[in-house]
Amino acid sequence: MSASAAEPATVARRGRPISWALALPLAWVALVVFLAITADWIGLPDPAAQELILRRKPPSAEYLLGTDNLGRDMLSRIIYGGRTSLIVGICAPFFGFLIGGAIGMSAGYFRGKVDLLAVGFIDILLAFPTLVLALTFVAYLGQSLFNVTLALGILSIPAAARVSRANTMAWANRDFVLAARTIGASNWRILTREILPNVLPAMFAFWLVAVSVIIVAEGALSFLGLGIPAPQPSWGGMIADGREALDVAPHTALIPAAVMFLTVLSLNFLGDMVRNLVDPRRSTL
Amino acid sequence: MSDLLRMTDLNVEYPVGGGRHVHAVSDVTLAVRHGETLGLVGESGSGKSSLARALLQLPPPQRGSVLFDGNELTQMRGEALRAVRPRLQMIFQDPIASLNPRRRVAEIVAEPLIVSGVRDAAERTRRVRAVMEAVGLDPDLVWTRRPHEFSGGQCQRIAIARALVLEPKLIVCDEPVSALDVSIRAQILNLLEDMKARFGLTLLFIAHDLAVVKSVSDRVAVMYLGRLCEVADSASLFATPAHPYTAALMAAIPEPDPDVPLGDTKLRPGDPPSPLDPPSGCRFRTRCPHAEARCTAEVPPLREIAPGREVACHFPLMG
Amino acid sequence: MSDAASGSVNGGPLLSVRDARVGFSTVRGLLRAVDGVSFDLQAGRTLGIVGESGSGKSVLVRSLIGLVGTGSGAIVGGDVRLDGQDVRGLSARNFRQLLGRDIGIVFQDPMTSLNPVMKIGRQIGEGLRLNRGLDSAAAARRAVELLVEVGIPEPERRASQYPHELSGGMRQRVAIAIAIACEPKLLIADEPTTALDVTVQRQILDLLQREQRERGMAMILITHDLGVAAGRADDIMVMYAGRAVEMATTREIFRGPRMPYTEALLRSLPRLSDATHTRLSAIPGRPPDLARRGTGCSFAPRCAYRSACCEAEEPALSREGGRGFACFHPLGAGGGTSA
Repeated sequence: MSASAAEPATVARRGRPISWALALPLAWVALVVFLAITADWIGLPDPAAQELILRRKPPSAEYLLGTDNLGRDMLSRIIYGGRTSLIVGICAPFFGFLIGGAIGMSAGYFRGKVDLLAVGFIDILLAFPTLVLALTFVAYLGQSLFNVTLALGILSIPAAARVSRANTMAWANRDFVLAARTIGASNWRILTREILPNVLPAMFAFWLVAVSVIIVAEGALSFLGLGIPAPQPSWGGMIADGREALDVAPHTALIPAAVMFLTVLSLNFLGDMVRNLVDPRRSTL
Repeated sequence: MSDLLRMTDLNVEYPVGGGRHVHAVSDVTLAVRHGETLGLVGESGSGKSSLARALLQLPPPQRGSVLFDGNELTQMRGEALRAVRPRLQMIFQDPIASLNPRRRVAEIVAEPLIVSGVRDAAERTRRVRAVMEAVGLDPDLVWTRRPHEFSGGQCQRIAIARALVLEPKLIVCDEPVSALDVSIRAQILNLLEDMKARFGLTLLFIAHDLAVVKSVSDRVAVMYLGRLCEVADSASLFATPAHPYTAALMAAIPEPDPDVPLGDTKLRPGDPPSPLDPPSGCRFRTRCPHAEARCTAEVPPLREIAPGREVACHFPLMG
Repeated sequence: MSDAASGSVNGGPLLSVRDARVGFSTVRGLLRAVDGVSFDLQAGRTLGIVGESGSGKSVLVRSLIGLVGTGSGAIVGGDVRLDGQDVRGLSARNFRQLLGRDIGIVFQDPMTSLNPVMKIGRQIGEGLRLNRGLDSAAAARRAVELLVEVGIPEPERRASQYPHELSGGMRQRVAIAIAIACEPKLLIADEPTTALDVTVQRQILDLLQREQRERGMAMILITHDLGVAAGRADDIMVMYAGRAVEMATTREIFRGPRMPYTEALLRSLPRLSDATHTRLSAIPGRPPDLARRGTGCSFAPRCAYRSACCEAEEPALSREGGRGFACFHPLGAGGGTSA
């Protein structure tokens, strides 16, 4: 049927324009990612180069964000620090979700003993105070980008397992899964081709949230001096450094804090958006 | 006519915690003959859906035998069972929920072929197109679409196409039209009849709507709280029901005709008992107007009271 | 025989609806769920509103009683009068009072229409306390009396139970008790038995009918089941794609429908009186997408009698005697030419 010509003017708009709530966070995250990737090629000063004479200088034409305690360029350190945060923030939950997702899906699909084991394992992991576990890990294995990522990745396993388990249980009861069994599909095929595509959107939305949580966690570790070792910059480390100079040069602490805040906020908004897109139609979780 | 499917002493129970069990299906012995449509009627709690799933071994029944096309399904596992599955298919009550919302229609209908090992993509495309056309879908229009873009009736057509693509012998239809609009039901019922004739199918048609069951079935079996009440050919069952429950069911259905007075179900007042704790002896006795002491003490066996008519009642209405 | 489609001689209808409209603004355009429906309902009579999904029957009735919120982007229009009083013009507080005192509603799913964490007796008594000013003790006593009236055995014990402890049929009886507690003038039942077994359905419908007769209420019975409508409604309004396409007494609808849709619907039903394997006369196509209403009759694409004028212009509801139908080629006396 063709659309009627006499539609009233109060008709809803066709298509959805991108709202400010989506555009700004997306732009910020895109900027951070872009700068992190191209950091080596845009002619930034060496983030480790110290110029003690120029320490704690406020933002100026030459040093756009000022200098820190040891005279290092803040802008450059922020950008390289962003790279660190993003690498850890993306890889750690990715690793965690891969493992946690597999555990959760197995638990939710097979139920019974598999479920009992998985839930027990998750509960044990969750019982440890998160940051203490990360600290212990890193202190024991040594500080490095890889170890920090591994530690934080392990900590994101329980959350991922819970999300994937709940979603899997909801989908596994649907008739189309039963239909797949009636045609003789193997469990593996059902898990990968029937259930996984339906669980993935919810997992992705949750992963975005996990990214922001991990960035904060990494910042906390660095703040406590147990994150990425110097001289590699990291936002948390920069905040720690700037703590001493809060009264004379507050920008050394506040600027990295603000950047972290904006990044985490943007990721949370984006996570919400994705969840809104996914949930009403699928109605799980 | 020989039997394509024969179930003997089928029992399905579910644990519900606290050591209690739902007796979904109890001692059902029933056969489906080659080429017929056997209607299975019952209300909620009758066990008809549990029976359907038990036939397909999803999951297997606690006790009893299911002999399908010469294969004892309850004894089969893994590859052997998978090899038989193409011959025994099912369509479900909620057509939209029975299709994976994230997959395209063509993939959904082709999936059975992939699982059963048809490697040639061109062959699969050919067969999928053929079966789509058979159920009244235009392959070019539906190929890349997803289920949520379709109405309930069309989704049911897709589900029927999926069930047909492996050329099964028996299709179990679990309430295939209950969730559809009234004006669409006739389309799908006609389609099922057409498919049955065209592909030489045997159908086990499960429904709670007696009029729908009557219109498609050759023989009808009536279930109540997990047990069979009555099995007879369609015409006889509806003309002269032998079991009081069948009679009550028929009387309860409002006929779409204001001049037909509302029938008297003659049921004793009260709610249907729960399958968690079914009454002893005859399970219908708590609502049956003719119940006597014997009905409490003894489970009435399913016995033949006339050629082709079986009833499980101590005091049947006929015979 | 008073008729459904216009005011009767003895004092006017209890419920009078003129040009009811409900539209939802969606991404795909304005969705006209209800597109100009008018009807009257006399006290003591039952109006059956029959239609399939998308016909607008539920949305119509919910909009009459203010359950279609403007929060969801709904645009509600039309004139509704209960016992002569303009319902739409009432303040929110007065409207709530009207709803509580004079209108009782029974919904389809007793699982979700009862509060799962409140005892049965308290739920029944709630309306009495709010609208009739009874104190808790009096409300509790009356609740038990109502449970007896709707046929629930051991009413005192049941009154202190929670909904999940009752079966579906019993829950629906409780829902009816809640609906009639304040002795409303109008009882609305929205698919009250669709979620129930057919043997229980019979009992519930009997109960509704009995309550209606004893209390002289008017009843609106929404259903997609023509059998239910045939047995319980005095008058029937058939809805399709948001409009009322036929209105008449029950006998007139079933004996001689004027709308091709009604006739096609009746012919497509499998009946117990048919022989087995009777080929059903199916209606081709499917109900229209309400967001893409074209010009012309919304049933035309599926109608066996359609002609060019049906596609060009939407037929208005014409009156004939007490009946109404919206068709350029009505069936029966004075019409009905096959394409």
